[in-house]
Amino acid sequence: MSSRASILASIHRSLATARHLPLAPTATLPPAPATPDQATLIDQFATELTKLSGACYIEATTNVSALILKLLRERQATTLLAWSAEHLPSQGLLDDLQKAGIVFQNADVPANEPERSQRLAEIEQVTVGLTGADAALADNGTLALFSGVGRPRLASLSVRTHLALFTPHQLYASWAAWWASEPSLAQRVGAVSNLTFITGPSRTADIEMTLTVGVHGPKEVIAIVVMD
Amino acid sequence: MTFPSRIHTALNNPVLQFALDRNAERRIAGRNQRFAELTAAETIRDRGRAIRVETLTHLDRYLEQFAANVESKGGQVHWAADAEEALQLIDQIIRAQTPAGSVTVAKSKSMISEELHLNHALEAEGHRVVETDLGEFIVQLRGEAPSHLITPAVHLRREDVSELFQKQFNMPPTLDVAAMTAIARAELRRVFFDAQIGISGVNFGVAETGSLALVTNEGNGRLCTTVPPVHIALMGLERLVPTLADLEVLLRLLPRSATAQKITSYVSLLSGPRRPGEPDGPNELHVILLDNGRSRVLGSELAESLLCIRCGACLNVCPVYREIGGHAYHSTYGGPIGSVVSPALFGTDFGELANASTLCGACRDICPVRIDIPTMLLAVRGQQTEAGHSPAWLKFGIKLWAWTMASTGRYQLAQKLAAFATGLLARRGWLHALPPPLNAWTDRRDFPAFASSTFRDRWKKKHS
Repeated sequence: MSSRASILASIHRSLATARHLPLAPTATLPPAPATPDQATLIDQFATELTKLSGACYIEATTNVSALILKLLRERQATTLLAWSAEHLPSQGLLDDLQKAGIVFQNADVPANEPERSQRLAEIEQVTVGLTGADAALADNGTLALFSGVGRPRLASLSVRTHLALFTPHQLYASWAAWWASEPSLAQRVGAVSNLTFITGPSRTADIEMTLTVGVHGPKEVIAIVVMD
Repeated sequence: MTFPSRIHTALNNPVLQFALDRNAERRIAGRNQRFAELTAAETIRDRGRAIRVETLTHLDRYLEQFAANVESKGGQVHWAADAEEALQLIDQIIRAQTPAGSVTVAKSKSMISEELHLNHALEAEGHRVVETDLGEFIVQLRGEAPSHLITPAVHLRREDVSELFQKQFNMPPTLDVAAMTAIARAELRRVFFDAQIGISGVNFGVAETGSLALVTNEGNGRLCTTVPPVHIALMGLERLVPTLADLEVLLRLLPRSATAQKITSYVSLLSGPRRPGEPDGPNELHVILLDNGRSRVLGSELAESLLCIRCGACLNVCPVYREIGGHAYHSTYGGPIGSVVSPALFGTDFGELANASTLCGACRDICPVRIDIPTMLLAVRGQQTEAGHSPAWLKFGIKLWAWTMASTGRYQLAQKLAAFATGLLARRGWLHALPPPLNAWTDRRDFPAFASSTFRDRWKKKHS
């Protein structure tokens, strides 16, 4: 008998005599509170992210390129690990950055060696990542990012500074509120390899419970709300 | 070393005592604060418990659904009946990458890997295994096991870490935690990018999508599951939730209970390996589903222990754990829940851990899914007695006590004898040292002398 069959048989035996499993309590979660207006949500998102030593800018779409260039110059970054243009909520942004001399790192990691290691070595040197966000969750200052074609996972991970753009339409009160609004959530989650919820910079408190940011992931998370 | 002598060592270790004192109060205060802020917290706990009970009640169905969904997304599922089979499977996966020769394995935190003693097994095969969670990295460098489910290096002070890093990495002397963290970051960065294999645990598997949920703060979990070309995920077969909506409910409870956070820095849902066209992510995803006794425990009186979501709150609140720390338990799983899980999974050798409890119930009160740990600790004690693990003198003592209690005359005589004998040995009303086997009590605490006149005597005197 395969291990799969023997394990399932053992579970069946146990469930047949499962007099020791407790009964499930009946508990209905209270209905979600009424969604606050957009301005309140933006304010809440910014407050929560700032509390976690992240930062949040609210910028008109026409000013986004200038803001990002300023942030890059402050960090002396000339190379960017970015999502492709169709996944960013700011038209012409990548063109503007390119015109200003910013170089885009090829984010496609080949499957085979030695090309794989060579590409990773280049990517590792890039200090700033630029992504969109599929949802921003106001209650905790969380960004939710699906992976996919043109959406490298490393752009929010291997860099020191993660810049994330989203529009007010992508803002939800909470994780539960976002998922409740997705009609085919399971399909969407299963369609790509990765959905990551990012709440502030990477952190640890493993030494004497002393909080330190930027341990393996980004030290800075900067959200930019792109206003129409 | 026996359990009592490990306890003795722990209690007399001032460094450990300092570290434990520093940790527990803050953890519990933080956890309580987070739950106080959470609307309908008690209902959410009930709902969390209901989700876990539902999962276990139909575990066969959810496991098959989960496995089918992992496979439909390109992942490979391997069922391991026990630790030995799990180790063989992992070995085969690694050999398929590099038929001969050693690999670098970047590991993020996994209690299952501790249960398998995976690092030893891989190192014996000549592989390099590096723990990448900061706390795990520190204890690995020290050649130790983690001493807490969530904070593996809780038994160490910054001075200990500084000394270790100075020795290992020629770090200039410093007690600055940020500087020490930066050293670890630089060391581990190479590991992530050099590793051929990434190994992680799994906080929850989602049956409806076949997704693996990973809850982390440092980012090492994301790197281990994104950069190396092969990702091996280790999970106990009970760690499932039926739906994504259920996952969201449990994630309201886990970080608040574990680290007093509303949510961790990262929650990742991994659904299969990198898909066609995706720029990065592993080429292969292997999920090892480990039984190792769990399916048997499901039908036992310790079944409720399988509801555990491994938050570690019961450790932080336990008056025993807070004094002796995790290493004294000498098991992968320590503290209150570990004192049930260890004998349940690893056998009666671990049964004595259940004695390290005052049965105060703090663990049950704080458990986010309300696991009745004290009742199961009593069940473990009962099993130990039934299996004949109690010492002979205890059996004799209980028989003697039962015989004495069965007759008023014998009971009264025993009272008088006890008052007389303890009166002879007591100093200021307390006994400090008794002969064997009663020294099992007085070695660690005093015992009050029996009253010189009994209640019956006093009653008689008053009414005569």
